[in-house]
Amino acid sequence: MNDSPAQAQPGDSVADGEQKPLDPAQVEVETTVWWIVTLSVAPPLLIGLGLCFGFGWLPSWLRWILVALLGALIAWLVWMSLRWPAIEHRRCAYRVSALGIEIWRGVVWRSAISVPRSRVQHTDVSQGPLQRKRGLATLSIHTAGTEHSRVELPGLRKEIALEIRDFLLRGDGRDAG
Amino acid sequence: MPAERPSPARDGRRLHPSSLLFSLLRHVKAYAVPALLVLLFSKGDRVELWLGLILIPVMVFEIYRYFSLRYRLLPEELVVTDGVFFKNERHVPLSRIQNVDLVQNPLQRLFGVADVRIETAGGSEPEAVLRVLSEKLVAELREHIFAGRREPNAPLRESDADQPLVLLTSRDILLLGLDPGRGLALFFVVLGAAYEFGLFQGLRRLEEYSGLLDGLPGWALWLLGAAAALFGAALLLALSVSWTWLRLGGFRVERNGDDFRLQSGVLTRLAATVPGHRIQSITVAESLMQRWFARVSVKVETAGGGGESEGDLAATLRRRFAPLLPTGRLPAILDALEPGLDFAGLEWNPLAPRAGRRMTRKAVLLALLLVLLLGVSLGPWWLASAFLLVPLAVIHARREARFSAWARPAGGLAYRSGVLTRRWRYVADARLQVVARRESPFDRRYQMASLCVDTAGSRAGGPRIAVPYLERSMAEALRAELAQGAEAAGFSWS
Repeated sequence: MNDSPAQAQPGDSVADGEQKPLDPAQVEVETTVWWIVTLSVAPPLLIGLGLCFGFGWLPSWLRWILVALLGALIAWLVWMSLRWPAIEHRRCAYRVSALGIEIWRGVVWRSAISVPRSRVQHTDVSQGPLQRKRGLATLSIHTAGTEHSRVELPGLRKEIALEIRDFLLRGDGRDAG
Repeated sequence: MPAERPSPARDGRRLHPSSLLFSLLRHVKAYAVPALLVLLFSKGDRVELWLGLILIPVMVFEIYRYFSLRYRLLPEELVVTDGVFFKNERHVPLSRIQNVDLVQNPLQRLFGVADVRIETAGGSEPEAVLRVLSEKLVAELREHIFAGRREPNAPLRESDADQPLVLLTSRDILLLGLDPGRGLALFFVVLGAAYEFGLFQGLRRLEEYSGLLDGLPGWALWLLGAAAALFGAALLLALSVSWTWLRLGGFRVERNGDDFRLQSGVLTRLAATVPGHRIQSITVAESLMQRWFARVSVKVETAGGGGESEGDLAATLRRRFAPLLPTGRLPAILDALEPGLDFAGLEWNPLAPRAGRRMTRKAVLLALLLVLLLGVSLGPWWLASAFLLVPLAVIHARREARFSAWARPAGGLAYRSGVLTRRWRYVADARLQVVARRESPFDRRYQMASLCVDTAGSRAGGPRIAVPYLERSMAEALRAELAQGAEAAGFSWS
């Protein structure tokens, strides 16, 4: 499974065939994103509900249902912001080997995806503003497939993302020198 | 454009002169439907018809375009120059051409010309559309394009040369037309259309006001109703058969080196090519009726070559590789598509032991839901349908679980499923793009997973292989094995 010495090239050190987690700093990025969502969704909803109460627009039986629903939604958002990124991070991993890259992800619906090296058509390394601040990047791998024409790996250190990209794109015959 | 510069436009060939007529007809057709509507619904005031004058500048443009479009066949590439205001010169390397599709409507056949669509792997739009060329030039073009394709190590076999690989007989077409799987769809279309046009209301009113049926005894009314239903069914089947005949009459597949050449159609004739090395997946299907008559159908999925756009007639033809085939011929066809592939001789592995139980539970739940819906919408008596629907669901699920299986023929993955219509699907390792193991929360409870493989299909929603209800460890082992096989088999576009 591992590289034979003849194939090994400088930079192949990423392809060590070990399963690795994503960078923990990605948890902070995701947490920030969740808080942004929570804080931009919750206040308008609360204000709306308050207005409904204040002006008595709603029949009384509907009020308490709405209060319950809204309370549940906000509690869920807060819980997601607090916990979800860490839970998600625990279930995400990747492994690069001579064969290609494997990606594990998903908490409720889990998947393990293999992309053989020769199937990589092109890759993107992108950084959002939150990722840039922490030196992280998202690696997107494009294949000729239909359903998985793009596989994403968010939250790698940028240097590692670039190394993986270089390794994946240096397929057989594509780099003779 | 400076005159002295050498340009393919100078010595290229023009389209057939009748293409002017056909482009006129095309524009008239686009204009005819709105014009007819105007004629039907406007009251005498036909001022809108003056809009037909739009056709004049359009035709001037078309004439100009006709004189500007040239194509040239070089030993290595096809060069198409066109454009009126913005000139465009397109070079298509012959080795990249995947399909040369022809569409020939009855009028075009009368003139001995055809629409030619030339496609390479990329995109969903054809790389070049030459409409129209004379049949002689089309034959020349195809010969030229495919001459370079015949690999020296894959010579024409003697048996291939004169005998078509697939040939639909009139009996086959009758069978296809009568198959309820297809006929029923048509039935519902007609029913829906009849409803839309208020046919039923009209009939009821006729019955109420004419008093035609008043004097008849009850049994005669029943008989009349039954006769009408029978007549309607016969009419629908006749329609279905004639439609099938128009589309698939004269269907044949011939082998030419690595390529398969397909043609079909009675009035509008279609011809398409399936390059053997571009086939991504093979599906064999057998409906209940086909099973009774020992017939199967074969579909293939090729990469690229579109299918979403207007030219989907040819693309559909390409997918329906063999609409109907005597089961005895299947091994030969499969061998031609993928040497050594034989679904019957495979070692089939069942799904996980508890898969049957899960499938049964799911089916029973769905059946109960349906019963509940029936009871709520049609009345409590319908709840009794549970006594019929639930056992049916159980039988269906059990048989499905028993038939579903996967196999690992040399260098590929096969999966079979279905109860009434059975399907066998095959993907070669070299065609795999991405291999994934998936687990739903339910899968996890039973230590199961499903295995999904992705190929370079030309369209979203095309057939894909997803083997559900596998033992988790088995799915994981298969994922690793297939990914390794895929990398070992390598991948190339052509």
